[in-house]
Amino acid sequence: MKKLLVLCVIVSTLLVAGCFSDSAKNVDNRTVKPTSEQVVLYFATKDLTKVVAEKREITHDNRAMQSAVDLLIAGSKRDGAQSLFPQGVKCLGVKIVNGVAIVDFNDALKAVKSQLGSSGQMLLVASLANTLTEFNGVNAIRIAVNGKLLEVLGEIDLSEPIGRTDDLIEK
Amino acid sequence: MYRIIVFVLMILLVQTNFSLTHAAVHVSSGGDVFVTKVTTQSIIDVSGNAKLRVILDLSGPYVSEYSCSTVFSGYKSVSSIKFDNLLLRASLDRTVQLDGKIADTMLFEEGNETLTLRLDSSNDSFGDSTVNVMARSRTDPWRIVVDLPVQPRSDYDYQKIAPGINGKTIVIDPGHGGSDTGAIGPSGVREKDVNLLIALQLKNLLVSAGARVVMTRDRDVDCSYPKSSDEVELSARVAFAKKYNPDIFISLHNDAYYNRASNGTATYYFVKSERDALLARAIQRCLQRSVGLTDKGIRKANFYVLRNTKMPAALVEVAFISNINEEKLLVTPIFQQKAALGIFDGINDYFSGR
Repeated sequence: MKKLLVLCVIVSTLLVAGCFSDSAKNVDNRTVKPTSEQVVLYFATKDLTKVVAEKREITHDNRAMQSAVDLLIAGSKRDGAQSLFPQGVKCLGVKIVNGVAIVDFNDALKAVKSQLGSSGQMLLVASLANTLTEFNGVNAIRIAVNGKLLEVLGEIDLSEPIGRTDDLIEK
Repeated sequence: MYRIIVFVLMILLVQTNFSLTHAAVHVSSGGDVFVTKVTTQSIIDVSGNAKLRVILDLSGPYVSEYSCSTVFSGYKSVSSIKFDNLLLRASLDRTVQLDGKIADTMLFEEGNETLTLRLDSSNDSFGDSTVNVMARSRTDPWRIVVDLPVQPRSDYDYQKIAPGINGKTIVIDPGHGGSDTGAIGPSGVREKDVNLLIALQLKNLLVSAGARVVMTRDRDVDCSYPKSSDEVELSARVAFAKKYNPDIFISLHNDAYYNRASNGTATYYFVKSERDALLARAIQRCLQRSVGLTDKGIRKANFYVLRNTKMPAALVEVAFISNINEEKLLVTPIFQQKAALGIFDGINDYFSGR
């Protein structure tokens, strides 16, 4: 019985402490800028049928979206999930125009046409769109190469902003 | 002893209550809530699911009721979402002309303490809308986000279809060609070559069965001009198909991936009507049975040639050219014949309503 009591006290102390640290954090949010933030990246599953979420910490600054894309290009830390970007692809910048994140890449992105078939192309675009629509105020994405918006990438029609593809997310 | 436990449990309870009331503070509304800004955005996902997103920025938290309805009358689809206790800033337009890609007009109708958002479309069929009310952060305004899914209505005339392949017009589109090799297999087999070889076999089978077959290319060439952009090349293929007003459009490809273990057969479609999925399913079933590779099923995809053709269309990925075994198979005339026969059977099933 004593053990149970001790457990109860510990649990309640922890909860109270949790409450305090929570409110302390809330105050912090208003006064001190946080140094890191969590992002959700979406990588392709090995069988090329879905994308799977992976949470990562990045430095909180005004280029958070580009950092997320850089991590997406660099690849997953887990077995069974992978980046679909061809070798040498670099993100040149991300800007938001009317709720659409325009992601600019170098020429190396065009290699998807000879290295990836339609299934991989589809998941590449889905991984990018799902990752960036996790950010506040981003409804959809468009892809550019060297500053020029793409209408098509491989087989995919990119003429309209691409939103999240929820039915491709592995649950 | 028990009393102490009860006391501790009560503390826990009080804490829970506290956090609940704390949460309630966030959503309690004070005074009238106004819509301060309206933005619209057409969005499509990679599976080809299109929607119109309407974002209403609010002057404060909104907690009242709303109801949605979609009606279809004549050639028009009309979707209405009625919000209780919501007002529209006087400075905002009550009627907004949209680009017509998804909806033609957006209207706001103000009633007795209600605001109705109405969207009209003459091109598409609206599905049931989803409404989210949220503030994504402390600094963000409260917003109502309305997502209105749409299904394009193809203007293709389905009435004339009679059973069987005989007399049908079919466009076969062998993927890539000319300056565009497509994917290249581990031993150097080029996708454009095997796509064409399978397509030519398929053409022979269809012609023998009485179909009129037109090919976007019947040799190793670009359909537009060498080294054109993907957009120019694919739009040339779509324009070609349009000219012949075919019953169906079949694009022939082979898939590829960095990892050589990937394998199998898949068929893609874009939902322009209920017929696209039927065509894809029939082809996938028969093709997979004929070639005997891993069945990767049918999938919806926002692929250019599928979306921009008016007639039912399917894009077939026969096998993985990046897989060593499947690359070997793809160059053999026997496998090419099996693939062509499988697709032929699928087309036949589709026209027979199977």
